[in-house]
Amino acid sequence: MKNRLVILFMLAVVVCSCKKDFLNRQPLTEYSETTLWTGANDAIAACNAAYSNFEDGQWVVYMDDASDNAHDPYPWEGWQEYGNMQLLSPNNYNPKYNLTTITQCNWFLANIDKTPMDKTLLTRMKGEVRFIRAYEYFERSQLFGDFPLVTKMLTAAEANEVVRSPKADVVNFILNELDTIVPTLPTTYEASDKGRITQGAALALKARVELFNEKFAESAASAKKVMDLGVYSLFPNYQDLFRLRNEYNSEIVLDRGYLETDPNLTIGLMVLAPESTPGGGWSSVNITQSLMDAYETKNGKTIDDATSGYDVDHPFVNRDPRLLQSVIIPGAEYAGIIFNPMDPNSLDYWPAYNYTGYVGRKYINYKSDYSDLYKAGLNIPLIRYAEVLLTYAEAKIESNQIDNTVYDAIDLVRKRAGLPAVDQTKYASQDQLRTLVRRERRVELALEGLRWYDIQRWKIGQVMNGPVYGLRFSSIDASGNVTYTSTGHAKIEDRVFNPAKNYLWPVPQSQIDLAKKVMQNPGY
Amino acid sequence: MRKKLSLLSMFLLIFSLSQAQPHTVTGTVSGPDGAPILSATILVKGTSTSSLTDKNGKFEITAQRGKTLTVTHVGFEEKQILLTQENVENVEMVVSASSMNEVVVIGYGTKKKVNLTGAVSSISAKELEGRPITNLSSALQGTMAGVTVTVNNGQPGNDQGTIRVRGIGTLGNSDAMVMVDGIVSSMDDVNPGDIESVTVLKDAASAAIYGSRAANGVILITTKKGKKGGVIAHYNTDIGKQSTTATPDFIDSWQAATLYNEALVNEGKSPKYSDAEIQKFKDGSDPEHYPNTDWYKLFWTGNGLQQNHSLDISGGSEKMQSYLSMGYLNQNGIVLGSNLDRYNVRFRTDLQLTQRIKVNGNISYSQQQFREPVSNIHSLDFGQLVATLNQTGRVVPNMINGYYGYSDEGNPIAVLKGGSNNLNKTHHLSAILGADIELLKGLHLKPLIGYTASITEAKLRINDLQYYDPTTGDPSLWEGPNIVAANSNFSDNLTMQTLLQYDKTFGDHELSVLGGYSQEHNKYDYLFGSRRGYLNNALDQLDAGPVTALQNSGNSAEYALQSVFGRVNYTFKKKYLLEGNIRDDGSSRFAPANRWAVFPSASVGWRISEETFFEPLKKVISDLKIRASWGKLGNQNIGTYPYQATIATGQNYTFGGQTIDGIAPLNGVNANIKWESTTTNDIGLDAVLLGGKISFTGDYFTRNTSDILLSLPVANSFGLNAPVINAGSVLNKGVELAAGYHLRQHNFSFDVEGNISFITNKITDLAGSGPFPNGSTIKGVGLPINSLFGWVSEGLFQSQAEIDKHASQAGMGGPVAPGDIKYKDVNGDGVIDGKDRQYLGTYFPKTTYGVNISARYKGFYAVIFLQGTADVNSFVSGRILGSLYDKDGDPTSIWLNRWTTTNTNASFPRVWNSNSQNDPSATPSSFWVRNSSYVRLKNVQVGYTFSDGFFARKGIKLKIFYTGQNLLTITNFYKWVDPEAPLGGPTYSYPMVKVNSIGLNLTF
Repeated sequence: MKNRLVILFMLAVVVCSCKKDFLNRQPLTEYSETTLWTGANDAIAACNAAYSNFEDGQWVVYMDDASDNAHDPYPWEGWQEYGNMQLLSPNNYNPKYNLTTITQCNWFLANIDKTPMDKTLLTRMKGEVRFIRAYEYFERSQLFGDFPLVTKMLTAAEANEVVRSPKADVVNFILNELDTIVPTLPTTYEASDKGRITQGAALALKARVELFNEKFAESAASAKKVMDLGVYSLFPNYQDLFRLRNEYNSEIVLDRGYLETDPNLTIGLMVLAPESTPGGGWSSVNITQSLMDAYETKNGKTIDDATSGYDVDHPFVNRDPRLLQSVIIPGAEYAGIIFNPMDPNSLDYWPAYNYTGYVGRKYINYKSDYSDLYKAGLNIPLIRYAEVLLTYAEAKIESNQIDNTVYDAIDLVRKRAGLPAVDQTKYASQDQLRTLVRRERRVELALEGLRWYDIQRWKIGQVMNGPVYGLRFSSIDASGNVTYTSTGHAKIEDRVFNPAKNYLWPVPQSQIDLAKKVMQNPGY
Repeated sequence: MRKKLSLLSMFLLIFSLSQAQPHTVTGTVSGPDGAPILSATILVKGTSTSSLTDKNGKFEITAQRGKTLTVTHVGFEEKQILLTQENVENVEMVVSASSMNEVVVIGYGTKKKVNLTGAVSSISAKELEGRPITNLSSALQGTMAGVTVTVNNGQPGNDQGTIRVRGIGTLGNSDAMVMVDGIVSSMDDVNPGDIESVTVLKDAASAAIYGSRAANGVILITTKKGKKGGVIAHYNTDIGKQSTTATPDFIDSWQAATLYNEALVNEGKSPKYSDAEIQKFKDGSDPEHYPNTDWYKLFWTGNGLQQNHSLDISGGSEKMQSYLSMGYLNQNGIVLGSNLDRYNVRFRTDLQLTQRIKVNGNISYSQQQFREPVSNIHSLDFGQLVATLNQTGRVVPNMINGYYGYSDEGNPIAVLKGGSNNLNKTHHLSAILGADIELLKGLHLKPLIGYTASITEAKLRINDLQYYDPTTGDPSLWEGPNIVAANSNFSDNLTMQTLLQYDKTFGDHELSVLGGYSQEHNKYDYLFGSRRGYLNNALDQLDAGPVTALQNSGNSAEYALQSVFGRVNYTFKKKYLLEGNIRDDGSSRFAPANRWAVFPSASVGWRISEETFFEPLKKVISDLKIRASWGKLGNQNIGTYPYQATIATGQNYTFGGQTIDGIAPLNGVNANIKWESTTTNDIGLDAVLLGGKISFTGDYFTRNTSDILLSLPVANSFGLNAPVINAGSVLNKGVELAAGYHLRQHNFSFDVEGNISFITNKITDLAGSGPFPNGSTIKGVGLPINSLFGWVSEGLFQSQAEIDKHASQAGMGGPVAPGDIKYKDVNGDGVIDGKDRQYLGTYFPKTTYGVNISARYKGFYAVIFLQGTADVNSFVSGRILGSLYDKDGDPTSIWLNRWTTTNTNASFPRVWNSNSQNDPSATPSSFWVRNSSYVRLKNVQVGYTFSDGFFARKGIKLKIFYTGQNLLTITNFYKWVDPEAPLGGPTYSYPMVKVNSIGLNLTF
C-alpha cells in the first residue's frame, strides 16, 4: 500500500510535468500589440496617451527662469544655468531633448488606419495626434534649432543613425501638418471632451510658429482666422483667468490638463509659492526687478515717463493691475502670511538663497482652491486668445501693415487688464509699436513660458547679460507696510550671455555619444 | 591504544566468526582529548543500519559479529572497527588531517571532495558558529575564494550582501542562483542556525547541471536533518549592540556659514552672512537664530540592541528521523523606529517506508517584520529622511522653546518623532516533499515537489506634522496630508522534479549516472490601495480614510522553465576522474524559436598522489590532484516578457475634468533575443601536505560570456526604453587561491585559513557599438565592466596666467578662476570638452581576500577573521562630500583645506555654489577618484567550552563567547565614508555598523 502511494505520488510528479504549452506565457497586466486596434475604444485610448506626456505645466512655469523675467535661486534644480548660461555642455541633461511623445504619436499614426471604426472620429483623432506631434516639434526646434525629424517608428539601430534635420525643414513640416489637419478638427467639443485639440488651437499654433519664423503675413492671416472663428473671447478678469473654477474658459485655445482627484495627473504648483506658505512653498521662480519695471503705470505709461505718476517710494501703487495679479511683492499677504524677504527670521529672507524678493502669484492666488499645492489640479494654459491677438498685432506691425485692427487687438488685451487704450500718437511708427507690443507680450504672458522664445527671436540676448537685481532694501512691519531704507537693490547674480552660441541650448552630450551623427550646436 | 584495540579485534574476530548472530553492540566515542563526541555516526558497513552517539559519546547498534562499524564525525577521520565482541571499547577519533575526506553537496547530489573535478567552495555550519549572524549573505563575506560579497548598509533587514561569484560575468543581472534544499529560493529566507552547509559552484563544469541560470554561479544551501540515535537539542543565543563604524566629520555652523559666503563670493554673488552673524554662530549667544545643530548625532540614537535565539531538537529511530527548529531574531536599529523581528520554524522528517523506499518532507515558515521611519515630505521613504540629516544644515535649530525648528527640507528629528513609518511583514513558506525509490540495486528514482510562497504585506503610514512659532506657540507651518498606503505582494513558485540515478562499481571502475527532468512555474501578484487626508493620525486602516483621493493598483506576471538534464561520473582506479553534464533548458521568456538551449560541460581529474611513482613523495604531499574543466552556461535574467510587444496602460489624461484612460508602448521590443551563454575553462590543483597540516587549492579560470542580454542605450530618437538585445561579450580571468595550516595537539589546536582571488574583467564586444558613457561611468570594448569615466585632473590652477596658458575650460560649467581643477587636454585641441574624458580606473575590486585564524587551548578558543579588497577605486560626491548650499548642506572638514588665495597648496578646489566645473557628480574627474581598498577586522571571537566534569556527567556541552563584528577598518578612502559605500554616493544612507555581542551555545 505504502509502496503504491509513493509510486502514485511519483507518477503524479511526472504526469503534471508534461503539460503542453507550459512555456507559453502571455503578459498578464499589459495589452500586447496583437490584442489591440480592435475598435474605437482601443484607438481612443491610444490617442489619449499622446496627450499624457505632451508638455509639462511645471516646465512652462519654470521656463521664465531661463529668461530675464525670473531667476531660480536653487542651483540643484538645473534652471540657474539656463538663466546665467553657464551651461555645462559636456554633461548637461535636458528633458526636452527626447522623442517619447513624438514616438507615441508615430505609433498611433502607424496603426490607426487599420482599426475598424467610424471614419469621422478616426480622422479627427489623427488630427489631434498630428497636432501634438507638431507642437512637440515646435518646442524642440525652438530650443535646439535643428532637430531629428522622425515621423515613423524607428528601430534602435535607425535611432542611433539619425541626424538633426535643419530647423527650416522641421518648421516646414510643422506648418504643413497644421495646414493639413485644420479642416479635420472641430472648433469646439462637448463638455466631456473639453481639452482636446481644436481647429482654433491648430490655427493659433500655426500663427505662433509663423511669427517665430518671421513669416509675418502668414502669421497675421492665421491669427485672423482664429479671431474670425467666433469661438474665443478674452476672459473678463485677468486674475481669475488662471483660477481652477475657470478652466476651459472662453480665452483658452490650448491648455495642459491636470486633475487634483487623480494623483497621477497633478501638478506641483508649490514651485511658485513663497517658502513661508503653509504646507510649503519652493519659490523657485523668483521675479527679477527687470520684469517688475516693465509693467506700466495705471495710466498706461512706462515708469521712466515723468508723467507716469510712478513714485519710486511707492513703486507698486498705481501700476498695471496685472503686476499685483502676477507677482507677490515684499509686504504682500499670501495665504494669510505676510511675505517678508527682509526679515532674517522669515523663511523668505532674501539672502538665504539669493532670492529676488518677488515670487509668482499667477496660478496660485487662490490658495484655498487647492487642498495641496504640491498636488494641484489646475490646467496650465499653453495658448490663450490674448496671445493670438498680440501675435496678430505683432505680425501686422512687422509686416508694416499698421491699421486700426492692430490697435484694436492690443487695446482688447490692455483694456481687459484695466489699462487705457494705446496712445496712438505716442505709438504710431512701426518702431514705436514694436516696442509697445513687445512690452505688452512680456507683461501679459509673464510666467507662461514664452519669454525665452521672444528673446531668442528678437535677438535681444543682451537682456540676459550683466547683473540681475531683486528687491529694494527696506524694512517691513508685521502688517506688511514697507519703509525703504536704501536706494539699493539686492544683487542676485552676474549673468553672461554669449550671442555667438547662447541663442540655442546645447544638445545633451549623452545623445551625441549615442547618435554619432548628431552634432553639437556651435560654441558648445 | 589504537594498536591495542586492533590486536584485540583481530583476536576476537577469529574467535567469533562462526557464530554471527545480530545483537546489540554498545560503545563510546571520544576525541583525542578524551571528551565524549556527540552525534558521531555509527554505521554497520554494507547495510543502512546506523546510529548516533549520545551526549556521553555512547552508542548502541544492532549488528553481527564480523561486520565492520564505520564511525564518522565532522572534522575527524573516519574510523573502521571490526566487530569481534558485543561491546566496543572507547573509540578515540583522530582529528581529520585532510579536508579531502569531506563530502560536499553538488548539483542534485553529493560528492566526496577528493573526487571533485570542478571548482567548488563550501563551508559548513561550524564555520558560521558563534557569529551573531543576522543574515546569511553578509556572513559569507570573505569565507570563500572567488566569492565576493559587498555589504554597505547596516540597517536591520537591509543588511544583506551582494554576492558575486568570480567577478561580474555579464552586463546585466549578475546575481548568483540560490537553491535551498534543491529548490530555487532566497538566501534570506533561511534561518542561519538551520544551515548544515553552503556550497558555491563556481565553474561551468560543476554548475552546468543547473544550465540556464548558473552563469553567475550557483549557491547550494543544505539545511540540517535529524540523525539516527538519541535526542539532541541545541540552544544558541547571542545578544549584542550595534554602533556606527564611522561618523561624518561635519564642521561647526560658523565654519559652514563662512564657507557658504565664500562660495557665493567666488561666483560673484552677495554673501549671505555678516561677520556679526558668523560670530553669533560661533559663540552660541542666539541659538534660536544662529544654532549649531549636529543632526547626525541627534538622529542616530537608537539603542542598537540585537538578540538571536535558536533552538533545535533532533533525533530519530531506525525508520524515522526528525529535525525541528525554532529561531527568533530581534534587531533594533541605531535610529529610533528601525527594527526587525524574525521568527523561523522548520520541520524536517525522513521516513524509511520499506527497505527500498524513503520519503522526506521539509517544511519551513518564517515571518519577518521590518519597520523603519520615513520622511513625511518629498519622497516618503527612509532614504529621504537620512538625506535630510545633511540637507538640513547646522544653521537650522532642532528645537527652540520646546518647539521643533522648521526646515523646508524637513527637520529630521521632528519627522522621526512624528512617527511616519513603513512596516513590512513578510511571510515565507517552503514545503518540499521528496522520495527515494530503489528500483533495482543501485538504481534510484527520486521525485520531488517543492512549493515556496512569499507574501509581503506592507503599510506605509505618513503622519501629518504641525510646526509652531517658537515665540508665540501658534501653529505655523503644516506638512501634510496624512496618508495610509497598503500593498500586498504574493509570489509563489512550484517546482516539480524527477531524478533517476544509477551507481555501480565493478572492479576498478566506478560509474554514476544521473538523469533528470524539472519544471518550474513562478507567478507574482501585487495589489495596492491608498487614502489620504485622515481626520488625525490615530488610525491606519484604509476604510477609516476619506474616499475623495483613493488610489489603487494591481498587477501580475508569470514565467515558466522546463529542463532535462543528465550527468555521468566515471572513476578508474580512484585515480582518473571524469565527469560530463548536459542540460536542455526552455524558458517562457524567449520566443518559441529561441526558447530551448543546450548547455554541456566536461571535466577531468587526476589524483597524482594515488600513482605508484608518487609513493616516495607521499610523506610530504599526502594528496595531490589536478583537474580541468570546460562548460557552457546560460542566463535568462531579463524582463518577464521581453520578446513580446506590450502596451502599457495608465498613460492617462484629463478631458473635461475627468481622467480618461490612455495606452501606449513604453518598451522597445526584440522578438529575436536568445539565451546568453557563458563558457568557462578552469584548471585547478588540490593538495594536502605534511599529513594534513597544510592544505592548498588553486584555480585559474577564464569565463567568456557572449550574447549578453542587455538593454544597450539607444538615442532618444528611438522614443521607447531600449530593448533587450544579445549585445556583446565579457571576458573574466582570474586566479583563486585558498590555503590552510592546521596544527592539532592534545590540548591545543591552531588553524589559519586564507583565501584570495584576483579577477580582471573586460568587455570584449558590444555588438559593434559603444562606448557608452553614463555620467561618471562608461561601458566600452576593452574596458572593465565597472569603469570610471571622466576628465583627467592636472591639479589646481594657481593663477590667471596659468589659466590663460591652458586649454580653454570655458564650457565646463562656470567661469574659470584660480583654485579650479585643471583638466588635461587629452585630445590636444585647445578646448576642454566631452572629448577629453577617459577611463579612470575600475570600481570593482580586482583583489578580494579573507583570513581566518583560530586557536584553541583546552576549553578556550579564539578566532580572528579579516577580510578585505585591494586594487579598487571609488569616489564620493554631493552631500557625502559635504555640500555648500547654506541650509541645504552641511560641509565636512575636508572643505577646511579648500583652495583660497592664502591656501594655495590645498587638497580641494575653491568652494562653489552653483557652478559645476569642479563638482564631482556633474564634472567627474580623476581629482575625486580615490583608492578604496580596505582591510576589515570582520569578526573577533573568544570563548570557552565547558565539557568536563559536571558537564560531562550531565551530558551537557556549553560554550560561551564574545564576538565583535566590523570592529576596525583600515583604508585610505575618506575616513568617515565606508569604503564599501555605493559608488559616487551623493547622500548618506544607513551607515555600516559594528556589533559587540556575547552569546552561548548549549548542547544537551
